[in-house]
Formats: sequence, C-alpha cells, structure tokens
Amino acid sequence: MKETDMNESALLNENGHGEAEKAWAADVRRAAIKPTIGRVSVAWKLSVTVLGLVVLAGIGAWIYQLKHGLGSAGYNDQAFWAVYIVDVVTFIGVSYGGAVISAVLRLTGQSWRAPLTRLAEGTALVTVMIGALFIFPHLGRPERFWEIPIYVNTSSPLFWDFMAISTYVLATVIFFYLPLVPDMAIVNKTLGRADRPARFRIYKALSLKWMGNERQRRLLHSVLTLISLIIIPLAVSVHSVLAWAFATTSRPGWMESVFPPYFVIAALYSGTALVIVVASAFRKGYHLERFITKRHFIRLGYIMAALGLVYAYLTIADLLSEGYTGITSGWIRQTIAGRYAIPFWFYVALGEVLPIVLVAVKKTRNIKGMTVASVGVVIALWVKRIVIVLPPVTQPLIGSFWGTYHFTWVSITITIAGVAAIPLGLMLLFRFLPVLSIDEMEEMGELGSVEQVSKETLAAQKQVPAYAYANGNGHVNGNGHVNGNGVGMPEKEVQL
Amino acid sequence: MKSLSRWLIAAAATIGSVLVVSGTAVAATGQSSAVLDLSVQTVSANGVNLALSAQAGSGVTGQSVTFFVQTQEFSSHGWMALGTSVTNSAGEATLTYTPTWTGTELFGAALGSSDAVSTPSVVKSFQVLKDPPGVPQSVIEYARPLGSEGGIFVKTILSVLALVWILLLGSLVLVIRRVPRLASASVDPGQAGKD
Repeated sequence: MKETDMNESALLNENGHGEAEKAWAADVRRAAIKPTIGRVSVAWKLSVTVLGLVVLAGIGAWIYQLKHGLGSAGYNDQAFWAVYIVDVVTFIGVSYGGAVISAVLRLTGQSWRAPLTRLAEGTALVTVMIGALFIFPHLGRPERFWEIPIYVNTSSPLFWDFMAISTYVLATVIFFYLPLVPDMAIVNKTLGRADRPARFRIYKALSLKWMGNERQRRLLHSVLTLISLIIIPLAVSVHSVLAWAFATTSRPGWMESVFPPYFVIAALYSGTALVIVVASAFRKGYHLERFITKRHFIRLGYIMAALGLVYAYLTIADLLSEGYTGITSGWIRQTIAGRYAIPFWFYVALGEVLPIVLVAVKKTRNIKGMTVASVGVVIALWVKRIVIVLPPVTQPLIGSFWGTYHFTWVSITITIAGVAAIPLGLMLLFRFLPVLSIDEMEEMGELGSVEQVSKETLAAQKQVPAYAYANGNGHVNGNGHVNGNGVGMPEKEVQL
Repeated sequence: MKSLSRWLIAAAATIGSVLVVSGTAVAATGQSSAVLDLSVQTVSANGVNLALSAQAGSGVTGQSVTFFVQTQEFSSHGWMALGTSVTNSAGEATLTYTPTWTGTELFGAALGSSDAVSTPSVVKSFQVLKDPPGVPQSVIEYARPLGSEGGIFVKTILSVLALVWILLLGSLVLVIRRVPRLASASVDPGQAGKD
C-alpha cells in the first residue's frame, strides 16, 4: 500500500493519554486503515487479478460440469461422493477454527488475541461462504436445492446440514460485524466526508453512531460475550452434523460413533493452521510485523500442536477398533498399505509429524517454522479427508471389485478456485474494512500486540519505541488498570 | 372324404373352443364390471381393529373379493393383499384387519381371488389413529420415525435452533437499535469509555 493523504490528526488519540499511548494508537490506526482507504499497490492489483481469474476458471469449470454431469468431475457409480464433499468439509472446517479461536480467546480474556481477532473472524466469514457454495458442485441437480427448505424431510441429514450451516453463517456474519462497529466510527472519522462520500455514508451507517461511551461499550461487550457463547457450540454442532451425514450412511468406515468429535477436532486443527497462514501472509503483505509478532505465532502453534495430537489419537482410535475386528475393514488395508497408502502416509508426515517437530524444537519454534507447519497441516488435512471419503465409498459391498475415482481437470479447477477465493475474499474484505481490530487493540493496550519488542527487534531498529520503554517500566494503561496478561512486566519476563 | 370329415371336426372343435373362451371372457367382464363400494370403519372397542367391507351389489353372491393395503415394503407395485372374503346374499364381503401403524392408510378391494387380482379396483383412504397392542415399539419407530419419540426429538432440536436464531437476530437488532440511542456523550470515537 502506498502512503495516502489520511487525516493524520484523526489517527491520533487525543484523549488525554500519554505520549506513548498516543504513538501506539496512531500506529495501530495507520496500519489498520491504510490498506482500507489508501491507494492500492500494483502487487495488490496483480494478485487480485490473478486470483480473480482462477476463481472465474472455477466457475467456468462448474458450468461445464452442469452441462456434462458429475461424471466430468470423476464421479461414478462407486465413487458417488468424492472431492467436493471433501472441499465442503475442509472449507467449513477451517472457518470453524477461525471463529472458535476468536470466541474462546475473547471469552477467556486473552489480551494477546487483539491483533488476530479481525483476521481470524474474517477468515471464518470468507471460508464459510466458500464452503457453503461448494455444496452446489457436490449436488447432481443443484437447481433443486431450494426444495430442501420447502419440502422439509427431517429424516434427511441434508436437511440438518442446511439448517446447521445456515445458522452458522448467520452467527459468523454477526460475530464479524459487531466488533467492527467501533472501528467503523474510527475509519469514518479518518476518511472524512469529502474524500469518498459513498463510502463515508456506508461507514457512518455501519458505525451506528458509535461514540465509545461506557454504556455503548457495556452493551456491545455483553452482546459479543453472548454471541461468543453461542458460536462455540454452534460450530461444534455444524461439524457434528456434517460428520453424521457420513456416519448415518450404511458404509463401512463411515458408520462410526467417533466421527463427530473426529470431524470437530479436524476442523479446529486445520482452522487454527489456516489462521496462522493468513496471519503470516497479512503480516508480511500489510506490514503488520509490529503488531502480529512471534509470540502470537508460537501460542497459536502450541494450540495447533495440541489439537494435532488429539487428532492423531482419534485417527488411531478410528483405525484400531474397526481394523481389529476385521469384519468390514477392507478400507483400512487400502488406506494403510493399499491404493490410498501414499495420501495417508503423506498426511501422517505433513499433518502430524512435521508440525509437532517444528513446534517441539526450539530452533524452529519461530514465525517461519509455525507458518511452514501450518501450511503442511492445511494441505495434509485436505488429503486426509480424501482418505476418509474415498476408501469407504469405493469399497465393494457385494463382490470384490473396488471402485475407482480419478481426479479430472473439472474437479481440480473448481477446488483450486475455492482455494484462490480465500485470499481473494480476504483482500477484498480488507480493502473496505480495517485489517486490525483497532478499538480492541487500543482497549487492550500495547501488550496485546507488541511482543514487547524483542531484543532482536530492538537491536535491528537500534532505537526503542516510546511505548516499549513504557511497558518495560511498569506502565499502567490509560484505562486505569494493569492488563491481565502481564502488562507492566519487564520485557524479559514475558515468557512465550 | 375321410380327410374332409377330419378337417370339419377339427374346424368345429376350434370354433367351439373360441366360443368357450369367449363365454369365459364375458363372464370375467361381467364380474369386473360389478361396481364395488368399499368402506372402512373401526369395529373394536379399543379402536384398533378395522372392518373392510366391499359391497358388490345385491345378486352378486358367493364371489371372491380380495382386499389390499398400500405399502412400500413388500410389494413392488405398492399393493399388498390382506386376504380374501366371499360376498354374502346381500352382495357384501367383509374382512377384519389390524393395521400395524398409525397414520393415513390406503385400502383397496377387487373382485376375484388373490391369485387372480393384484391391484384393487376401488380405493379408500382411512386415518388409523391407534397403534395396535403387542406390536413392538421399535417396529413402529422404524416404520414411522417421526411418529413417536423421534418426533419429540426433532421438535426439540428445531425449537433449540429457533431459539438460537432468535438470540442471534435479537442481539443484532438490539445493538442496531440501542447503540445509536446511547450515543449521547459527545466524545472521540473509540476512546470515551476507556477514561
């Protein structure tokens, strides 16, 4: 982003805080608002163009599939479910991670969450939309989709999928919008009426005349707490219902009681990984290094590794119990040592071993290490879901001839388009809305974001920012209390 | 001459056969053309047993009437024969039947034995209100999952879902309506409440 003529005075918080806090607030506002109202760079335009073309190619492939049928995507009598249901589960799963991380950290009062919440909630919003759209290529007759809510069949898992996902989309939109209200007021003031009147009016409407007084804050905080409480069980239910769409189908390998928690943990695991990937990309691309720091990555990395271990446990539990009885375990042989062995062991290497090693080894426990681990987890979990879907679906129920599924250019193009839609959606979203949760970051104070400028950073900058000194010397926040997460502690005492 | 007589005998036999077949056909047509009137009513005190009565008209006596119920489980054409009864002097055939589940049932009847007819010529809809005693509950649940406890479960889940929607939309409406009203203090956006 290029520098623009922003209303510099509006960036400053002239509310009687100390110089350090003023400088901090101005930095936050500048970093958050610049991508929104500044001019876009050539790299941004190029990225959006390329990503947009990929998405258009995916839409074109879907139109081709509508014309030629699901067979053009590799579907056949045996492989009646394949890549698109994997995409639905994956995209809605990663959305779950973003929403739940934000909600849990909000409920538990983790002040370090502040620079991440907007990105996490934005990721949840964009990915749930894409995941919901992936239901359409999955359907053989998508024009009949409207019949699901009209001709209600409560015995059908599809009906409950529809209900759960639509409720979750509504919750995600509200959960994204409400913390945005104070920021809309800030952006509105910064933008000024003369610059872009249309945008000014939209921001003004979205800001709901926010003035930031105590009663407004109390109301917004209460409502956000309630939504956070709702969104966690809601997300659990969405993924459980998705799992039951499999588990209530009478096929070996699917009809298992472990499936709902199995899917929920996979969603959390891959969702946390995607938040790390998105945070890493936007940190670099939008110059948020000062706010999203090594500490954030390592904490998210710990959460991701813990979820990875739980997921490994559930994978073993799934394979062991059915493999031991051996009654319908042909799919297990195919998974571990048969035709699906390569993708399965790819998941083990990239989705379990690599992230745990990268988190465990101190040398790799850094931003780059966590990003590499997260990229690996996101890819590996998609592959793992392929392994969950295809072996059971292609296992013969009568006779011994296994079905086959071959990827085609149609299914690959549509899937890649879905992947490209994530950065595209986020870039467009944060072209109009602040990439950081400004108000929340100011409320949390510096410690929520500044890693309290590590020694390396200090050495690199060769000068210590005013707020770093302030923090290191037991500075108390402007709202009159010490932050709960170690604010006021000297930098060396902040342990990762 | 001998061969001519053989030919004449053969020809006469053939014509005779045709006549016999024709006579059977006429009789069959006559049977099926009798207008059946089907009625269904509860006959037992506990409201479980039904009487299926087919009225073929006075004069149609001693004719077999087969009764049917529409089902999806046992028959590809959807009609399962329940049994056969014979018309009395008033032309009425009756069969007592105990339905196996509640809900709207389609009953049918046709003149002829169960070997001769497979679909009814007259159909009557009837609302079965009571489950029969002695039928395992699981059988009923399997046939109609929403007929008993399943229905309560579904209604509970839908109620919870409705509550979630009300809470979500209510929260949004509350913020949209209340926040502008609370904007009374003239302070800098994003800062006032922190002081």
